[in-house]
Amino acid sequence: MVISLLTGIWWFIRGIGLLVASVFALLKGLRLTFTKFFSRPVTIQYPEKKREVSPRWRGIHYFERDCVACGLCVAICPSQCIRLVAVEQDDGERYPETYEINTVRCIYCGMCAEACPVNAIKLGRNYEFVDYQREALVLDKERLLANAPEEV
Amino acid sequence: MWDTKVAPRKLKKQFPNAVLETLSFRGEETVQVKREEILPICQYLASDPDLSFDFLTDICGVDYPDNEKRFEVVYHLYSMRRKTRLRLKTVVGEEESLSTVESVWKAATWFEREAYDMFGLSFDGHHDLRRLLTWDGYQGHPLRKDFPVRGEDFDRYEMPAEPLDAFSIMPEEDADERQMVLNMGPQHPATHGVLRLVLKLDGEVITDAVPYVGHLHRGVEKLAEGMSYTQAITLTDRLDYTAGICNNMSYCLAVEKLLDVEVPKRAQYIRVIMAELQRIAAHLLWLATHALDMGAMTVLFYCFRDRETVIDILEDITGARLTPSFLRIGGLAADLPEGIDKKITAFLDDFPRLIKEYETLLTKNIIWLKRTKGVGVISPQEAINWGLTGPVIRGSGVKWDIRKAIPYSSYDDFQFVIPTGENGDVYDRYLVRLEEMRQSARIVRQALKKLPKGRIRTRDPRVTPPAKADVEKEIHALIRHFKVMSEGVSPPPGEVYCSIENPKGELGWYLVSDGTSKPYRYRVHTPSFVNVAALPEMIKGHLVADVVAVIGSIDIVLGEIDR
Ligand code: SF4
Ligand code: SF4
Repeated sequence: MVISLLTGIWWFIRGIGLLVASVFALLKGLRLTFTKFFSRPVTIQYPEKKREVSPRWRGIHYFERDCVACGLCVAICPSQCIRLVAVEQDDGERYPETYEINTVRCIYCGMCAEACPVNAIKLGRNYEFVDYQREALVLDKERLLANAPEEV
Repeated sequence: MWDTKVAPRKLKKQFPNAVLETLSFRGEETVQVKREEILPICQYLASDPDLSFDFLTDICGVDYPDNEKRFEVVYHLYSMRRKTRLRLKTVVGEEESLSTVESVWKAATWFEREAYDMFGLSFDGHHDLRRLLTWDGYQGHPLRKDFPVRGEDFDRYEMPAEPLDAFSIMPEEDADERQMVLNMGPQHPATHGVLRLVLKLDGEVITDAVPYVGHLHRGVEKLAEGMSYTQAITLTDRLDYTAGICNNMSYCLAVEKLLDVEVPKRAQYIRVIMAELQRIAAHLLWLATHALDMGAMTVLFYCFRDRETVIDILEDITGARLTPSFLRIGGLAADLPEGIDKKITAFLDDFPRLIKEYETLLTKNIIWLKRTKGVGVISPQEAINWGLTGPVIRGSGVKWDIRKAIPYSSYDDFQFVIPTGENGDVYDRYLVRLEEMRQSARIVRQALKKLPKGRIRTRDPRVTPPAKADVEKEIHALIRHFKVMSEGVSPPPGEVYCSIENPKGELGWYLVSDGTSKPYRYRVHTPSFVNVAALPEMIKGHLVADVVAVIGSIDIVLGEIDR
């Protein structure tokens, strides 16, 4: 009788202890979230404010200088999204008659820029590039030249 | 270190007629055995106390259509005790079958199903030989060499008139009144991707479960066979997309082993720094989603906030946030940018405080404890037998981490401990991962401090193109640039298996080279694949709500399961 009473009391105290401990743990968590009320938000209101991307960012391509139509970028491109038709001028100079990058297929790996022996094709820092038509996302020579950032 | 030649020698003595050939290449031992004897050989290897190859890493097929017996089945075994690998090979004709090794290692179940699916190999005695990555009723076996790669090469595909139903494997007869079949996924937010689970319930208690994978199957292994070794780096990012750098690293190490090139120390250290930062990022993403699944939304916000810092650092280094494709065979695409070490150190200084925040919210939280303790238990023996890897096997108390067991990329230069759990439940896996983040931070700090100067790409002219500045000036540099860029690397004929400790476990590549510039076989052993195979084992007897907890705790990424 006495023993069962004692165990009863023991279980009661233990239960209270556990309850207090768990409530205390919960309160500590609540205190943490509460203090966050008064900290500055880390989010950015995107379309109004833009995030500065890294200088190495691999975004939309541009031509930094004239391509010599060597075809290395075509050879290395893993997604085979560059189309090049090379022609030779009368003086022996090669130039691309057609140069198209299908930016829908492109995976922005940057291997074309790495392969280009004359540093013509580059990946820029622009990542906002959308349209309603897929055709409009195929970049040709003129658009690639126009894409070049101003500061260069 | 234990002599790796012992296993082939013992095997030859034990089975003089069944062992056809032994060879070693790049320090790896391969034993070619007779098809009929595969089961006794495996039983012997697993049970012999001296060898104890208790861990099955991988089973895969390789197709040689010109050979008399077309397929090769390759088994990769690992001995926890001896810390060595062994490769078993056997040839199988198109009409032949071989015995399953399910009885030796349960891990074989899914590997054999995959080999059946991809090559049409058949395994006698397998309890559930169905397609795994493609669907029931699919025509053809995609990884056979004569299977077309591109859409336009296909004949028109006809859906079978009556597609086999997933529920067909749970026959109607034994479903009594109380039993109910519940379909969970593939669009369920808590299955972390397109995983479909068919649950058999008794009330709310799970009596059986069958995972269905393959909804995200892109045929990475097939695609890579048509790409050069360098191009195939880009495929690796897209497997476990939470840990792109680690995937790059695993693949590059495998190709480097095949080529036998040494990576400069500086590149190795930078790789380690990035891989460990990536591990932190991956674990933060895991913690965020895992906690969210169980209702702790605040943790999600905190983790994403801090993951952003890590991803920012990686973005500064690589130029991309999720798909870095930054490692190159023999080194890195570029050196660390100016001032990045300050950014990294600032993060590392702040990180202990951040981990404490998550711990304040979860570790002693009564709701968290009730949801995770004693749920999804798997014993160490079972974990080894199922071939589990990463934090899942460590949560069960098996102290196994490839960074320590088979160090790569200078990991033996750094001090860190491998955290392990005791109970093998969801809670222990949680603790293990938290500690791993702390250890990763420790490794990054050491690597930054000891970072040597020097090159970031090997000097080997076969793999490294000359510097861009030279290309413009010197004609032989230009010629070499053209050669490396257009042809890529051509490793000598041979095969290697190389794996690393990814955030989710062992990620390994089995590469077979035929001497050309494209991999003949590009086999990926992914950690989530083996871990999800054991999911039914862990959730049987639990409630439906616990399924979410267990899936979260094994941290699967469907991108690498389905490939
Ligand atoms: S970035 Fe990569 S995928 Fe895109 S065009 Fe260049 S090489 Fe091709
Ligand atoms: S962009 Fe560069 S690599 Fe591509 S064809 Fe022109 S010159 Fe050659």
